[in-house]
Amino acid sequence: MKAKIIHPKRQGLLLLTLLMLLLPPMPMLHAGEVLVSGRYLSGAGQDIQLQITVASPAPGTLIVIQKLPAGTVIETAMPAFHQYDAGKGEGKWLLTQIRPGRHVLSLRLAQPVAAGTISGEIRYMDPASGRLTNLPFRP
Amino acid sequence: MDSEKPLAGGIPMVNIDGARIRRIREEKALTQLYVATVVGVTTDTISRWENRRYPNIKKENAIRLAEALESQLADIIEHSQPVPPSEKPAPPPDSAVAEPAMPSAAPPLPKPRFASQHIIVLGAAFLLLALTVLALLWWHTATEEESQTTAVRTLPAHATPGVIFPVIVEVTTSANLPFSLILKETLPPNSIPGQGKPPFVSQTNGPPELKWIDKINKEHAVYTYLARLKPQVKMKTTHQFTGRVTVRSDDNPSITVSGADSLQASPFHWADSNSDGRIDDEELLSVYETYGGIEGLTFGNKLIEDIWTAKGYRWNQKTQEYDLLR
Repeated sequence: MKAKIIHPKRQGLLLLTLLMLLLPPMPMLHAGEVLVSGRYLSGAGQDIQLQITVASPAPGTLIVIQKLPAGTVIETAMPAFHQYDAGKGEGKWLLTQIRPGRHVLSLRLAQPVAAGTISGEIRYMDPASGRLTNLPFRP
Repeated sequence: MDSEKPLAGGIPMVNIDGARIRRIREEKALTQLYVATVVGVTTDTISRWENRRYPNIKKENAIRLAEALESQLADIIEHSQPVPPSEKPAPPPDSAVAEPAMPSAAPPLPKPRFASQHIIVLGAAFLLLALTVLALLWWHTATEEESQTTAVRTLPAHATPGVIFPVIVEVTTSANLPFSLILKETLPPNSIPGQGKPPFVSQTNGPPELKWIDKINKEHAVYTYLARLKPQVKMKTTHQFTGRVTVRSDDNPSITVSGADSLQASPFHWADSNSDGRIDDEELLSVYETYGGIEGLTFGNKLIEDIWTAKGYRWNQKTQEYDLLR
């Protein structure tokens, strides 16, 4: 009978110790959470749409790079590109004071582009490490 | 010191000249709030000191007062009535003058009439008092270790003469909130201060000196300003920044602003941190992460973005502008 009384206490202590050992790694799951992500809502044809999702807390400034086939002519970009090199087919958006949430960037091209010929990249300073982070994405 | 009078408890006291203090303060255009914050007393106390002819105050407060008035101690103490401490007993301090934040000397204990009984009672009381003081001292030391205030300056490593650059001073504290502080930033003599966020309250000639008087309600406060080196400043010369934060506290009256303290005159834009003649993505993002979050601070964002979108830039000494390379 004595053994039956003592064992649950020991088990409780063991459980408590295990919990204390297991709990500290939990914040690391939060640390590894994706702060910024990008995906194409439309990744081929004449109209290209990118969706940027920003978590909280997140970097306040992002550079979004859009890579298109060389020589692509842009009819309109919303918002307007800060930089576009038609020869390279590379455009850059600078998004400052960005708020957490979803943001859509749109392009209207003079000619349609085939699927798989475009790609994007998001650059930002990681708030935790202060280092430049490159996040490539494809349709 | 001719007017220095040690108190019975051993605390040195001095007589200060109220009228002279007011005159110096008014000549230097300092407010009673400023002086009170530097000394660590209330504005009422400063007012009382100024309105009495020769108030008797603690010497350490007189030293702080002299510092606040940017004067020497000898300039503010009373010289007309020398009272050598060995010849005359010190008069009791002006209780209305002593600031409430400082500990006061214990009143003298009454002489025991019936020695044997009273000595035991007084001895026990004294022992209890000593233990209480020791406990308070221990508690004070323990909490002092925890309550710390730091001030760190962020400044570009270089800047082109005539081109504005931003400076940030971040004050972090674990002290009890809210508390008052004065931040004083001294810029290089060959510099011109610009916009301040929050606005600085005073500015003097000579080496530019910026002051913020503030009441902190949170653990982190940010003070920013723009400045530029005078256009005639020679390239490759180094320019020093200094700063102090005075916190309304008896234990830690003044903290030196740490962090970056010098800036070199350079033909490269301050945002071009590696001085390679272009502003790349990392440099642009770094600028916005550091300075972009301060609302209303216009640190030349347009020029930085123009340089970023160009292939490079070069400083044109004749036009005093950057030529962008397309």
